[in-house]
Amino acid sequence: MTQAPCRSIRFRGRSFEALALEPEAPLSAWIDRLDVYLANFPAFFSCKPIVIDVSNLELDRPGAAELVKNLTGRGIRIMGLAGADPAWSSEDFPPILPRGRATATANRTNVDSATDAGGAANGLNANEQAAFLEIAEALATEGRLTPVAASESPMRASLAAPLVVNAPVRSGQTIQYLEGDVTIVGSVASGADVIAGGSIHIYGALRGRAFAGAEGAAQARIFCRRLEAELLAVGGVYLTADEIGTSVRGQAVQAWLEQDSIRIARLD
Amino acid sequence: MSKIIVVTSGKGGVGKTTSTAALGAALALEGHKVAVVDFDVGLRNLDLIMGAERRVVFDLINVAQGDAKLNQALIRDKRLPNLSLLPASQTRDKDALTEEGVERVIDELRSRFDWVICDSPAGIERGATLAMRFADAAVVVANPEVSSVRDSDRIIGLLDAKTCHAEKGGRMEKHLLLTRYDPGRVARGEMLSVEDVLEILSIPLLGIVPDNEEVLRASNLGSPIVLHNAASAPARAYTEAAQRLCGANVPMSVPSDQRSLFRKLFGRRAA
Repeated sequence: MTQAPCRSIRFRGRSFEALALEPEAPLSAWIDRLDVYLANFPAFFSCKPIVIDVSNLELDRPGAAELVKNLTGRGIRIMGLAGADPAWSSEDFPPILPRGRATATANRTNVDSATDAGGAANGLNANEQAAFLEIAEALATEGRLTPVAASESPMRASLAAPLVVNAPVRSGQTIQYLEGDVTIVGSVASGADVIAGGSIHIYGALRGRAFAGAEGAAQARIFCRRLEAELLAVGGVYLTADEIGTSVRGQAVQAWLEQDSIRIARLD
Repeated sequence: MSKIIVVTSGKGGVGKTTSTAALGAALALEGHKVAVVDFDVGLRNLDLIMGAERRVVFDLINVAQGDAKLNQALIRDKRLPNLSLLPASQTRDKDALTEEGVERVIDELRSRFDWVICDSPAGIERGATLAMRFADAAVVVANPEVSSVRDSDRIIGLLDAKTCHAEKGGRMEKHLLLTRYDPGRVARGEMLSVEDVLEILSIPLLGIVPDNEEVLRASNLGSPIVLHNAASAPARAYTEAAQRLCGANVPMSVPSDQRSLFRKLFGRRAA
């Protein structure tokens, strides 16, 4: 059972979903309202990954530190700060997250049902209401975060007009289309990136990097006539060239996500 | 109708300057009026390859900035009177070039020559983008190895995006010139084959220049290879490439000569 001491550890870049809480000025009043809700729904924030979005607050570092202390004292475990000045980062501060994207329109489509689940959203402005509804929705599904987003966003993606590129994608070029599928009639060169919200279809060799389901759509797939990729990513799960098996290299394949790992199968 | 050609590659050391000199001389031998322009400001080399380094007075920067007339800066080749060189400055850097200045120089060259061949610096920065900016066609020089091919692919992307031609919605004419090609090493799998490179770059092939020691010898003597030894394999490759550039239908081949074939056989036996 001994392992070689030199064996390396594995790192992978992954995207996860978290709840973003957006406090509003004046902070003291907002915290008072938060306390009211915590009294009604004490389990709202327990064991949930919470990101605090301070971009609307115009805080300085001491102000942000106080907010973090205040929220932590209320049992909210903060995994990161969004919209904060990167210069604030230090050991005693939550990690500062550089970019964030809303996961879905899907949350908004569920406002009605979530209102029922979440209960009285009285006395709150629209932003707070949305934040609490998000939490209520997450609570209602017992730990499985954004189940609706996962099943609905690919559907939405397929409704958007697909992007068709009728030329080879050259080294150094990036094709990014988060609204839906990308079809490339030609090859994708080494050093080129294709980033799609939906699936990626390449009628040529894939020698560069392909990111399907870039906003988390786990049903997205990558299809190519010849797999020579530097990197494949589906729904935020990555596979580097080294991890791609020799049996599928150089073949026409499809790649998809299955139980949090990328599967690749030959098409013919 | 004159034509501006940029000789470019992305990667350094693949043979841009050698190819510029050889294609320029080959076109001049066919009777065209040709100017070769060194855009590698700060690291000029074309004057050495052309054997004109002792005659440089004014350069591209001087003309672009209006400090000298084009006539004063152009150096007429001693062997071929219809071949001229516009050298680069060795003391300035590429920031001294402005788009307006380059456009003015290119316009004036266009009115006086049949072919203007611009030797691009390596890289994808200012010097390289200005060299390709006003070109009508590009000769992409690549060696049969992966890093050169990937850099060439990058340059092809820039040719399709950053040139005046492309910005006006036109399609930039591109030709691939494969240099330092060694059929023996390709056969042993040590080099990419012509088919591999064409499959990756998907642009038409202008010529295949075999790896040959005569090229270095010609460079050291300051003579374009087609003038130094017209019968050598690389000289024949460049001559045929120039004919194809003019629209002639010359069957594609990898020129070789007796001695290199002999050496190849000998080398294989020794290995």
